[in-house]
Amino acid sequence: MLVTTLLTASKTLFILRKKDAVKIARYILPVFSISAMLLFAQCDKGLEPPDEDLIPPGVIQGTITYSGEWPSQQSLVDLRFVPLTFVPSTAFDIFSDLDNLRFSNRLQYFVEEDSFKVTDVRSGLYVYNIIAHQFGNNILADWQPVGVYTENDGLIRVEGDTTTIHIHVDFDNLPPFPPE
Amino acid sequence: MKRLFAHIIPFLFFTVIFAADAVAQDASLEGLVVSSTDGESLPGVHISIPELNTGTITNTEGRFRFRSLPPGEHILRVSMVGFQTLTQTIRLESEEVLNLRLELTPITLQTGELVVTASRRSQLIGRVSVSMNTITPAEIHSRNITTLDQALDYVPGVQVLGNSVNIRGSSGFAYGVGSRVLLLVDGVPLMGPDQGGMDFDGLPLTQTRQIEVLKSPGSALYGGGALGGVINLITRDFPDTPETRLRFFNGVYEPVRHDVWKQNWDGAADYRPFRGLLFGHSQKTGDRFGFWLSGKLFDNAGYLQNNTSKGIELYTKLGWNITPDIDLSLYTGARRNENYQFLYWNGLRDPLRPGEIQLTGDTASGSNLGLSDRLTILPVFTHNISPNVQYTLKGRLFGVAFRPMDRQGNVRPSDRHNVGVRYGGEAQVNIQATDELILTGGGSFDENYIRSDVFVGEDSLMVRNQPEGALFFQAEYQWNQRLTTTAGFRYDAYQVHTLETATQFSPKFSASYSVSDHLTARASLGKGFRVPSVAERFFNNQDFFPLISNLTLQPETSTGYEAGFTYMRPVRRAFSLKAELTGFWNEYQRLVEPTFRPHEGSFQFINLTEARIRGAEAAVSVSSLGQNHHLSTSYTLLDPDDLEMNRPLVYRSKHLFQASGRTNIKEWLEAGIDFRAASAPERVDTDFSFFVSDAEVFPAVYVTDARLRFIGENTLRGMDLSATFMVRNLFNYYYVERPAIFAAPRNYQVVVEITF
Repeated sequence: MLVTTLLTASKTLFILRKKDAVKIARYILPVFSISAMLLFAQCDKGLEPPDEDLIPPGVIQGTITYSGEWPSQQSLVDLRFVPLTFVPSTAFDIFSDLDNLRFSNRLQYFVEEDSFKVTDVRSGLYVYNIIAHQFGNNILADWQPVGVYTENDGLIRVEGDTTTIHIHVDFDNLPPFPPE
Repeated sequence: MKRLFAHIIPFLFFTVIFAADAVAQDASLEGLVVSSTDGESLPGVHISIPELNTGTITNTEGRFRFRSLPPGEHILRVSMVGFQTLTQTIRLESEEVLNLRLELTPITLQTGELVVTASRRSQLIGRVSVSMNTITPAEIHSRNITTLDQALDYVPGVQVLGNSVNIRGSSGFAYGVGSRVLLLVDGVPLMGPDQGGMDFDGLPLTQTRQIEVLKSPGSALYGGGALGGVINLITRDFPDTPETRLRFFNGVYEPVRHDVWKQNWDGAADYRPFRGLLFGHSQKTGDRFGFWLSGKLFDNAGYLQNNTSKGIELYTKLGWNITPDIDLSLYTGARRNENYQFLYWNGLRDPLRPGEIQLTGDTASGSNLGLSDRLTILPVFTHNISPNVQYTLKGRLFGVAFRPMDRQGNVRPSDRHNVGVRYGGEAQVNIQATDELILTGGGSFDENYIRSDVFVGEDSLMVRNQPEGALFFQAEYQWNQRLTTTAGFRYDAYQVHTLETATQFSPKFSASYSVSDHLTARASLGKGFRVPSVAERFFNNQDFFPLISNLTLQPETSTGYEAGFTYMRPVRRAFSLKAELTGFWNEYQRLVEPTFRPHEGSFQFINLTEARIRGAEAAVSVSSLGQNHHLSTSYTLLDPDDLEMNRPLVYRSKHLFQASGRTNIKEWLEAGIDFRAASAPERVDTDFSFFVSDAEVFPAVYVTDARLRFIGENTLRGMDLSATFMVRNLFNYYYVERPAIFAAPRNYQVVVEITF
C-alpha cells in the first residue's frame, strides 16, 4: 500500500519540470506554515485554571452520641467526622480527593456526647458521612468508620448553606467496612 | 618408488619456479571507496573486474585489495545499492601496486548517510536492518539545541517526559529513575551510576558529528538499559583546517496569560530571562595529533518559582595517530550545575509554584536546590592489525556528585550528599573474515559505586556496589548485493544482591533485503533486559516524595519484533525522497513501575506486570538536492497494553505526530518551522494525585517552534556569521512537561553564531 502510494506520488512529481518543482518547494513551506498556524491558533489553548466554584462552600455541623465499649486508649490515634462525596472501598480511598477532603477537629474520647463543625465544605452531594477512627500509625491505611450518618438515606446536600445532622456510634456494633 | 620421486620432484620444482615467475609479474590493486557528498568511507561496496571474473567487497573502513592481477588494461566496476554504479578503466603495470581513491555518488542524499550504532561498526543507513534516525549538526545549530532532550523532540516516535526518554512508548514516566533507553557517547554508556538516568546537559553539542537513535531493543549489543532503544552521540573527528565556533543565545519566557496563576508569585508576571554561550574549537596539530574542545555556560531564571539553573561545562577530545594503524584518543568532560529542581506543582490553580506534601510526617517540598558535579573520562585505543582485523580497547570513568543546598545557597552538611562512580572497560574485535562475512565480538566489565544517605534500603547500608560483566558476539553475512543477515547474542552477568549473581542471554537476528535500488525491506527480532538501578532498589527517602526501597526487585526483560520498508529515490533530479514504514511488537516481562503501596503509605518500584507495546510508524521526508528545502513528517501509532490488568499502560500517548519544514528563501535567509503533537495518555497514574493536587492532569501536546535565520558567509574577515530569531511554543499552548510540572510557555530567543 505504502509503496503504491509513494510510486504514485513520485510519478506525479515526475511530470513536473525541475524549475517548477523547485518553485513549488519554495512555496510549500510558507503554505505549510500558514496552514499549521491557522489550524492550531484556532484550537485548544491547553491547560487552564479550574473554574472557581459558582456556589460558595457550606458548613456541616452536628452532634454525636456514643454507646458500647470504647476501644483502648492505645488504639485511639484519631477520631473525626469526615463527609465524602463517594463510597470508599478501602481506607486509602478516603484520601483520593485530597484537595477537597474536609474533616472536623479531633473529637473527644471516652465521652457520651460530642459535637462537631466542618466549614469550607465544597458544595455538592455527600453520600458517605462517617465518624472515622484511626487505630494505627499509618495515616493513610489505618482508618475505619465507627458511625455512619443514616438519616435522609445518608445523603447531605451542601449548597452554600449550613446542614445540621446527628450520628450515633455504637462501638459494640460497628458498621461494615467496606460498606455492603 | 625411486622412479616416482624422479618424476615428481622435477615437476614440483618447475611448478614452483613458474608460479614464482608468474607472481613476480602480477600487479596488485588496492584503495578506498568514499561517498562523493561528504568524503566518508563506504563499507560493503562491491568492486569487480568482470573480464577476469573476480571481485571483492570493501571492509568496515571502506578499503579493498586485489592481489595477483595480470598486467594490462581492465575495466573496474564499483557498485552499491543506493549509489550510482561507477565504471573506470585502469591500467596495471607488471609488479605495480596501484592505489585508488574511488568516489561513489549517492542516488539520494540520505543513502550516503553512515551510522555506527546498529552493528557497532560503520554502516550505510540504507543497509541497516533496524529502525534508526539521525540528528545532524546542521539541525542542532539551526534550532539552537543546547540539551539532548531538545534534540530528541524532533525524532519520529520519540517523546521526552521530563527526564524520561520514551522511544515508541518504552519508558512511560518513572520520575527520571531507571531509563529504558541507553545513552552512549562514542559507543560508551553514560548512564548515571545512581539513578540510572540520562544527563541531558552533559554533552559536547558543538563537536557532535551526529546523534543516532536506535529505536528497537539494543541489549544484544549494548546490554542492560537498551531495552527500549539506544541514543549514541558520535563526536567529530579533527578537521584539517582549525575551526572555532561561538554561539551566544539570549531569550525570555513570556508571562502566563491566566491572572490566577500570577497571584501567588510575583515572578509569574515578568518576562523571565535565560542566556548562554556555547563554544568550540577543533584542529589538527601536525599529521598525528588533533584535539577539540566544547563548552557551555548558561544561566536560566526559569519560568517556574524555584526553578533557576546555571552551570558551566567543558569537554575535550585529544587524538594521537601513533602509527598509520594505531590510534589513541581521550575524551574528558566536566560540568558543574547549580539547579533548583522543581519536582511537582501546587495544583492546577497554582502550577508555577512548587507544592508540599503534608502526609509524610515532615512536610516534603516540591523543589530542591543542589550542586551537581559530573566528570567523564573515556580513553579509546584502536589497532588495525591488518586491513581485515581491528581491535578496540575502551575505558570509562563516570563520576557524579550531588550536594543539596539550603535557601541561602550554602551546601548542606555532608551526610546529605550523594556520590556515585561508574567505571569499567571494554574490548572489541572486528574481523572481516571473508568478503561476505564480518564478525564482531568482545567483552565488557562495569561497576557502580554509590555512597548515599538516601539509598540505604532496608539493610541500612550506605555504600552500594553493582558489578556487571558481559560477552557479546555478532556475525553479519552478505549473501549477495541485496541480502544481508545478522545474528548475534550477548551474555550478561550482574550482581542483583550481595553475593547473588544473575545471568541474562540476549540473542538477536535481523535481515535487510534490497528489493530494488530504491526499496529495502528489513526485519529484526531480539531480546532485551534492564537491571534495576541502585535508586529503584535502594532509594528510601521522604524529603521530597514518599518512596521506599525494594531489595527484591528483579530485572525486567523484553522481546521485540520489527519489520519495515525504506524507500529512497530522487525525484526529477530536483528532490530526494525518503519514506519509511515500520511495524513493531514488543513484549515486556516484569516491567518495573513506581506504584503506591497503601499499607506502607509510600511509593515503591515493583515488578508490576506483563505488558505489550505494538504499533506502526510512517515517516516521509523530501529534500531538494541542494538541501535548500526540506520537508519531513512522521506519525507513530502506539497500542500500549498492561496484559495482566487488561488496561493501557500509564503515560503512553497513543498518537505521536511530527512535521518539520525548512527553506532557504534567499541565500542569506533561512526559515524553519517544527510541529509536534502527542495525544493525551489513555491512562495516568492516579496514585500520584493522592499527594499532589491535579497530578492526573495530562493534556494532549501541540507545540510549534519557528525560526528565521540570517546567514552571512565570509562577512567579517573570513568569518561566517549567522543570527537567528526563534520562537518556541509559538501558539503559547499550555501543557505539562511531565506529571505535575507545567511545560515552558512561549519563549523567544536570539542566537548569534560566529564560525572562523
